[in-house]
Amino acid sequence: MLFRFVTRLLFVISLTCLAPGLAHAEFSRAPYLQLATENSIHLVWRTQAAIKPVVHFGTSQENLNQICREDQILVRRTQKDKHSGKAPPLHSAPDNTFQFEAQITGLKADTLYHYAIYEGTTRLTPDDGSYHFRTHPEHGKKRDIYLWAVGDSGTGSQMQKDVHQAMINYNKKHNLTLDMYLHVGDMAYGSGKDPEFQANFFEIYEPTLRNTVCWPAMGNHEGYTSKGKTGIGPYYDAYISPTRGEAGGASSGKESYYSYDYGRAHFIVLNSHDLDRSPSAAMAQWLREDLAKTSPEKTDWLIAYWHHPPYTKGSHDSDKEKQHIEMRTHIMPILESAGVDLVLGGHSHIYERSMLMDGAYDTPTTAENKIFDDGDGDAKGDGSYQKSPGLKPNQGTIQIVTGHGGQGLRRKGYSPVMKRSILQHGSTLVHISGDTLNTKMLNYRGEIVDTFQIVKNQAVTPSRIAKPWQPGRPSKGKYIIPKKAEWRYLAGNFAPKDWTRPGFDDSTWKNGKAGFGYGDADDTTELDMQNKYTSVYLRKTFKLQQPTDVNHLWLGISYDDAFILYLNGKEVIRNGVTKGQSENATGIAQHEANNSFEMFDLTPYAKLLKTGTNTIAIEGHNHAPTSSDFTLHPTILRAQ
Amino acid sequence: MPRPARTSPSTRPSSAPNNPKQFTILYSKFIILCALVLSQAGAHESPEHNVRELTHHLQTRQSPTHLHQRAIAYRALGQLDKAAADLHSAITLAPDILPYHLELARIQLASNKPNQALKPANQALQLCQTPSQRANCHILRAEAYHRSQQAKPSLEACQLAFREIPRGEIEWFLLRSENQLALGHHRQRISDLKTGYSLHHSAVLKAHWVDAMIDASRFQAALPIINGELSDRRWKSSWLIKRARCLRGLDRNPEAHSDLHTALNEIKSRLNSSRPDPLLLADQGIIHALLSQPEQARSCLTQLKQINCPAWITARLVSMMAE
Repeated sequence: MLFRFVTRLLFVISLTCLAPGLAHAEFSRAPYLQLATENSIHLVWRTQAAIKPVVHFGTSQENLNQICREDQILVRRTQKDKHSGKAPPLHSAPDNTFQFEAQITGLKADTLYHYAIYEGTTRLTPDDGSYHFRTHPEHGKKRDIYLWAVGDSGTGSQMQKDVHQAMINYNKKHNLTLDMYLHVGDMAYGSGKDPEFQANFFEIYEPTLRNTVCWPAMGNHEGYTSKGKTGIGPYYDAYISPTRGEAGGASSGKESYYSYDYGRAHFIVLNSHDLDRSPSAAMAQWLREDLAKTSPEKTDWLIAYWHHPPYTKGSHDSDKEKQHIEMRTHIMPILESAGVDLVLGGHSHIYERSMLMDGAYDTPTTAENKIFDDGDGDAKGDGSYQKSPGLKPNQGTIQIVTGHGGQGLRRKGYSPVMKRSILQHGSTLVHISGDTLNTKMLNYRGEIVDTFQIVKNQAVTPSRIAKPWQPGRPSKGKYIIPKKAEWRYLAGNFAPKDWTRPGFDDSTWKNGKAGFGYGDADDTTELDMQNKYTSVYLRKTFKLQQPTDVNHLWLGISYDDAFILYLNGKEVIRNGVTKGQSENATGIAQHEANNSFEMFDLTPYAKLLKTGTNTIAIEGHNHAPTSSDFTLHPTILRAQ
Repeated sequence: MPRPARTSPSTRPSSAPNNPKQFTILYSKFIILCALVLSQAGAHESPEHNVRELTHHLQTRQSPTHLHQRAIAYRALGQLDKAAADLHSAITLAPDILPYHLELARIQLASNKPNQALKPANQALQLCQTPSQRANCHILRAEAYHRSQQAKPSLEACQLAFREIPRGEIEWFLLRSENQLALGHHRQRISDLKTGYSLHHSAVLKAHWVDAMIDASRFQAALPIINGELSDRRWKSSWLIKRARCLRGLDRNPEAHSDLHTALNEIKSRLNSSRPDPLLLADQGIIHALLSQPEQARSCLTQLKQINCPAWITARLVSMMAE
């Protein structure tokens, strides 16, 4: 009996040891890529015990015929764990942490390598084909570039995971492979501590980080525990960034600002958080040197990013806060005079995207005579933005605030230079192909809600628009669905699953005039909701006469407490509902209608609409059945 | 920079503080912890929101932690006088908390009140426990002296910072170099910048090191480095000026003039007339001065003063015009 038990136990143990997924668990921080160049790359991982690692790599998954030996791998520990050797100690890490940093050199440019980490003869990384890296193409080589940019994502929330998964699904569907991952800061809420990096960054992005280099910019939340001046802290433990121009550009001497080349693009990363942002400070001096060294023969595109965007009216106001103002006033003139094409930021929890602009350095920001093209930049819409080939000074920049990667969204207003201002979680995808830079905003459900192109195929003489298009609520327009319009509504029951789609049979639903609700004496159709139910569903069709109508629609809505809007069956706006739909909606925020109508720009969803008949569906939610009031009063306005 | 060494704990087994200094340190750590927790609580909010919330709290109780936090929010909004007032109040309530003094010194510097920055920086120095803290205090003092054009005490403060942390930071090397230039310590300046460059590999330190060589008339040593830089760059004006200064020093005036004219043309094509880059404008002024065009040089200097350009950028132009 005992023999049989021991045999079974040994069998289970042997299975456990052989199972690749469980071997993987030996990493306390799974392997991830860092600092890549044309001929080298860094691999970083952690264990909770001393191991003697070897990295096997090669151009074929079946034949990892090259080796990075143990003596070529840096080992870092905390001082508490008696760190020794030349490498700087880890600022902080769990007890008994060993951080291994392998620099693999002598590689061929633009080549796909597979890798595996071994301890002796035991393979620690699973043999599933997902552990690979690609070296940078030679600087100046013509090659497509595809990157993913995210900001303010490190919450550990389901939304952060959804945004990540949406990117993975999109790439799978379109057979795309990332060349790099740009993080514009706030990747480890709340204070950038080592365990927060582990839980909110490394564990969530692990499938991407094992085969894609993340090039980071430090956010204010990392700034609580990491210091840009000294380069010490969990942020600097986590990343290996160039300090000596290893990947191109001028030597910065600091990991907190740096640059790198990829094909015919030059990327600049700045620290907007805790370094001197003045035009005479060391960072700005380095920036000038870096831009002066950027070869026009080898570079067509210039992309810069940092945490505090120069223009935003999301959860932060770039006209009020010093970091934003200084980056706009001191840094943007240097970049624009060097021909920067795209600037990415975060900090403000929203997606905002500008028109093609130049020279908007004043506070408050104004758009008059600062905009070259006030269209949407969409090749299928108003047309692509045009710039001259190469890096010509002051030909226009697009600004993107991509701070919608996971943290709670908010909008304080509309920046006059922004063409898009979208309160949806998501990320930004940038695809550069020859003379065209194509950018998409991918939301957390995997839908593209904004797209634009910059094309540099002919010489352009930009001219400034005296009175460009203005974002924000329209000053005048014509109601497509007026106030107190008649709607089909369902109250007291949950709607069936397909209730938002066009053609759904709502003949059994009641007719009523907006607004719907109770309490506050502000509703036309009074409902018996109090202490009974919390959700109401509205449907209506409306007609658009002209093809251009779809680009000028606004939702005006008076609501208490929350709602989700659908156009032709697709969810487009969610306000005050954290998760789920209909009976599964949770996290309902409180909001007072106050007899006012808030305006929501529907132009980002123009593609969902068509000339002729369209269907609008709205579900309204009350914070609690006992609430003293509820209001749902939607309108649709065609702005003029 | 090495992390601070741990101080040996009391021999008493008790975890309670056994003297006022220890209590101060513990209290200071507690305050920092509170500040961190509070700042994170409001970290997703804008500073305007944080000011409102903290003002609400402060109406019921004057807490130094809340005052410190509100000062940080005011600083983010550029309301430096209000930030300074809150920090003064916080220091009155809790005079032994290092971050309050450091923050006040930084705020005074940001407000262009270097003399008023010295007092909190000196008080902070008394509260420092680690080499890193002391070095940062010395650099704050050095910055304050430097802004009030006291190169000698500023240089001394820089040296004290380097004594604490020999590797220093890029900005420390630059500040020390400016003081050495003002005091005419050319040889030491070259040596120190070279050390800084070898430690940090910063392109900025390299450019300043070469300038230091030219300032000390070491033209032959500077030329190969300059030529190396000029061989591979898109914009050459700043390095062409360096080369022209060397060539003039070596009596190769026609070559120097050629470089200067090339640099001037490049700057003219790049300079934004409505918002000129101060460094480009200063370079333009230097070219005019080197080409014996004093009116144009003076015009550049006037423009630099109009945009409140720091003294280190205008210093070379001013000295050239005085020659």
